[in-house]
Amino acid sequence: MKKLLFGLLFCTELLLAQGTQKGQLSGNFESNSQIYFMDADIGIDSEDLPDERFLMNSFANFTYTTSNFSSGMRYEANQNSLLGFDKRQNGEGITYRYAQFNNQGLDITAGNFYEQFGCGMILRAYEERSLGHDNAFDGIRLKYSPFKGLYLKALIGKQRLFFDKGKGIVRGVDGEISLNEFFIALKEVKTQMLIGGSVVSKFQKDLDPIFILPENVASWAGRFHIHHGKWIVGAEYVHKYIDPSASNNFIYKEGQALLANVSYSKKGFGFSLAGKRIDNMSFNADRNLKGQEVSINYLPALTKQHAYTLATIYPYGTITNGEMGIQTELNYKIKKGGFIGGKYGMGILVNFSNAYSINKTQIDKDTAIGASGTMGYNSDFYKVGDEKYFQEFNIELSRKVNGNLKITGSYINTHYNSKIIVGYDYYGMIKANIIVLEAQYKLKPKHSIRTEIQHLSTKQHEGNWAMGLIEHTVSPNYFFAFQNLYNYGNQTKKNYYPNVSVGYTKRTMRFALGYGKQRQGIFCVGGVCRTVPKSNGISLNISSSF
Amino acid sequence: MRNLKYLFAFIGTLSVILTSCDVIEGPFTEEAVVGECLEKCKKILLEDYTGHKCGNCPRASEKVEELKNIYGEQLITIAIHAGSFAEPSGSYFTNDFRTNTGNEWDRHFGISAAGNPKGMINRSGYPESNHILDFEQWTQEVDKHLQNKPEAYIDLDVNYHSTTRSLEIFSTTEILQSTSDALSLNMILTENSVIAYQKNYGADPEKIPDYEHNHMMRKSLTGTWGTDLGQKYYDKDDLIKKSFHVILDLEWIPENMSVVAFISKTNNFELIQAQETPIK
Repeated sequence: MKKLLFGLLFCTELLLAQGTQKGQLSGNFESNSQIYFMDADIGIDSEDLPDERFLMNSFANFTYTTSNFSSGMRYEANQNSLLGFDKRQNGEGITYRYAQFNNQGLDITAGNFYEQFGCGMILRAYEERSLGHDNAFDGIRLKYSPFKGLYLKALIGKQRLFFDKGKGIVRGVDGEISLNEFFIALKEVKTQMLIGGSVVSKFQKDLDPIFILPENVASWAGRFHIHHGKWIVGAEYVHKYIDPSASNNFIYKEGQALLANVSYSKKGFGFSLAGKRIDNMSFNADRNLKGQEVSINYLPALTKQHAYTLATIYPYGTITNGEMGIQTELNYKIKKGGFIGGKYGMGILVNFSNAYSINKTQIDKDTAIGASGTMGYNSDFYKVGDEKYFQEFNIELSRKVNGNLKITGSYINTHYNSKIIVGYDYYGMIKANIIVLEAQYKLKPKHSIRTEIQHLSTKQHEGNWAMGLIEHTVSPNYFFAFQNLYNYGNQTKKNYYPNVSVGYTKRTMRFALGYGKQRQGIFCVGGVCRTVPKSNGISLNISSSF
Repeated sequence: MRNLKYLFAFIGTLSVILTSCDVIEGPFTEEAVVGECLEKCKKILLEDYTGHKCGNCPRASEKVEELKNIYGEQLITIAIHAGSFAEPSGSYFTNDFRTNTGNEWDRHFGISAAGNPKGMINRSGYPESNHILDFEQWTQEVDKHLQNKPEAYIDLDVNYHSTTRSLEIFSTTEILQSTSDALSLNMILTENSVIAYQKNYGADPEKIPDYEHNHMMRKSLTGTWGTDLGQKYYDKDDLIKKSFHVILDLEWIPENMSVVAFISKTNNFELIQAQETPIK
């Protein structure tokens, strides 16, 4: 098989070289490795260390492209996977290979591909390496635009499950019409309108000796998007037919999700409001898996994605079995001049988001809510549940003081239902206040310093955290950084988590070497999370592309 | 007009996929069939990793009983209290139901680290990391393993002296399929109806003072990885006899206890047979 793939990739170049088309080969490589040490201070003894002591995640992509043809592959070697990544990721091999060509507007992909229908709530195959997530399809995909304004997609395939494939076969079609392109009468209209629809179905054999399960489960979605001047309005609704699975405790209830948003922006001012309702919308290519490994769809978290370390301690993960929430954001730039505006003006960004449970009532007085083998529960679409899952208020002020100094300050107030989101039962609702002050200072040409001072205060969970960071960058080749986290304000532990790192970049090649301690926690991207274990060690990151 | 055919084709495809949906109107469950163990039948071991502070674990325990109703004596269960959810703490969860062997299994197989409730069926899937299963996956996995023919059979004979609380166990392993794999015999004591606190997210209040803990692992008589059956090659019809002796702890109730024996391949820990018998 491997020989065949190498043949496909490299012989393609030779074959095409005989013709008139000239192709281009490109690629990239990345390796993340760590040596792990014991650390009595943060409770890492020999039993907690990986047997291998040294772990590494690495991959290389190669892509060959001509004007209407491309093929590529990815080789991965995780020997063995870094702590915190799923151990099923251990191993090596070709995990992604494809050939794609376009003939008279018909685009055909055979092999692996990523795809998204609409905003992804009905179908999204994507890779997020920092989470160890990759649910790429292995199958066939067609894309066709028979005429301007109509865009069609159809696919069939199985999804990647580490070095294997998920059990379910996924079939889907998606159509999108740009009304302004489609109807000549609307061509000159300033309002841009787009409508779309998808149908996705999965097949998995029913081998369950207890439940009578649907082997074919379908779902459909409709969406629209209107862009008029400074306004954008959009929404997508997804409906899923009965899909008893490990995620919903094998209930026979249909699922639905709605995501709607409106935004307005002009120079110096922007506003957006988004709302969502999710009810029993976990859609998995293997009904027996509860995680995101072979998830067919993606349900966005609708909360602000933070970059500051202490602001990421309590990240929200989407509750796929049911949640309702909103997010609103306002950004405004105070004009330059005066005490507040200064010489360059000041940016203000305010963000508020929340998520609540959905209303659930018993289907009858004898059946518990969510009981396996039943219709599960009744739910009033417009009613919010009693339980708060998450709430966050965030204000960020940024101001350029002079040509060399820029300061950013943030305040975040978080309510985090740890019992629901991550199962920290004892801590219940964690309420935290976070303050961040960041300064970027240009010392001299090519030399800049960035500092961060952060503080998180809470009476629950692990108590308070303080953090300091200083980073010196010598453009374009070097950086040096030191940061330290201090956990205090609790009775059980008062620990430091120092880290030092250096990096060297030369064109597309980058080396980064670090030594330090990692706190235990949850890492999320867009509502999808993984657990990060505590560790102490030396890490090395190498990346390169051509 | 020419373009309309594309729309019709697309709508047609949509319709085909949309109709690719099975309609099930109930009942949603199969008729339960109680497993009947014919002579020297295959038996499956389900290791349920749990803890008294694990609020989702009672759901896994319910699944165990549901499966036992279906598979009867062909399904044998050990509930292993291990990991942080099993640590004693506070004024309610003061009991320590952990055992050294259970802790070592938990660490070795990485079960509670993956977030209890989790379990293993015949320790299958190790070391490829497919051995850790959510309780929703247990049914199909048990069903799958029961399709295999037994490779060995364990006969257990127990002799309990109530005055001295002394328990003698005599095991006879009969090889049903020849093998050159190294084999280990594990002998475990379990106890049913242990009444103690348990957290249950499905109950109100969540802390249940009189929860009935069943299949609780109490002790291993064969260390962490069992005792070698002692042959380099096992021929069909070979009989290997072993005996064990133990004094029961005073807090254990013999009437509620069972001996669980299982044979595993020494190199990858996968089970080939299990057996259970009550002490009294």
